[in-house]
Amino acid sequence: MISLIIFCQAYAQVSSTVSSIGIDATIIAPISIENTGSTPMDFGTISRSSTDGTVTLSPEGGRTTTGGASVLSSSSFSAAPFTVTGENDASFNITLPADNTVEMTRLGGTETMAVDGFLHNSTLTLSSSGSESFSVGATLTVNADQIAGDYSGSFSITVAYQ
Amino acid sequence: MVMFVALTVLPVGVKGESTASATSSAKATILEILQLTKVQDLNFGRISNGAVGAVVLTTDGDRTTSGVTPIGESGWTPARFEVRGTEDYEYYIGLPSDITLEKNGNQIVIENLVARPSSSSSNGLVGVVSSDAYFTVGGELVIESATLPPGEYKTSFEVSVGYN
Repeated sequence: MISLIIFCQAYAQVSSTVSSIGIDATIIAPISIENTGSTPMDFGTISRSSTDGTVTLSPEGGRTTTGGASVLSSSSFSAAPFTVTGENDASFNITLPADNTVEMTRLGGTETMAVDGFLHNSTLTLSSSGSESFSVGATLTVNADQIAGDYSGSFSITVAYQ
Repeated sequence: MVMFVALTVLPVGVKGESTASATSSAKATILEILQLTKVQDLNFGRISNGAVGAVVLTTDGDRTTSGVTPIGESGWTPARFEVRGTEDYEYYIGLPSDITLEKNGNQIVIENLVARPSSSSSNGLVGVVSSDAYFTVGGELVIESATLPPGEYKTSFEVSVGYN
């Protein structure tokens, strides 16, 4: 929509005979995305041990661990949900964060934990009403010497029409 | 002509430039490693041999006997363990089901092991971590032979804790 306006302005500068041109451009609804309900990617509460470990959130909603990390079964967790809206039935692609680019930092400290292996479960197609909901999961690395505390961070994903 | 070129390019341009981004927060809570330290052994004290019976030692340190004859006014203690970790989180206690004491092939069994966390007023297997958290362990010593040789019967046993 914005691009069309830009075109009209440019056109007006060239000629005043706008109405004589037949325009058959297809105008596509802009694509947009939001973090549904501002729900975070939440790995929950983790008990570490003297060996390194990982905690993985699957886009489908599961939580698994490896190595010395164990999760408190009583702690809540969630993959990050997103909603895309745009042109009905349009295809789009998703760009997730690359490995080694996202980390969380301890509240009140400087210690970090890496978040890698981002995955999504989108169909990459907007519905007939122009929306698509999906979730993003990732793997958290918890080192054996990880300082206890609350860690937080953020990451961005990008969607684009194909 | 310039206008014509612009028209043909336009639809492609609109579609190709349509991208959007969103940011989500991420979070996790890491707990201190749970540490368990024995402070005091489980000791049923002294009893006389020559009878079958039982000695019950509570988590509060009270001892009662049935069948067997108690000796002494003191000298028995429940086991006591300190628990340290991230405060205010619950922990669970793992106790063995039975413990067998042995001396030269003669056996005494401790059954019905119970624990009482310092955060609780009654026996149970779930406590709360604090800067002075501990739990005590008691049980029932069962003597099934009236011909046990006198002596000291001892063994060791393991308990475990984990965040609940």
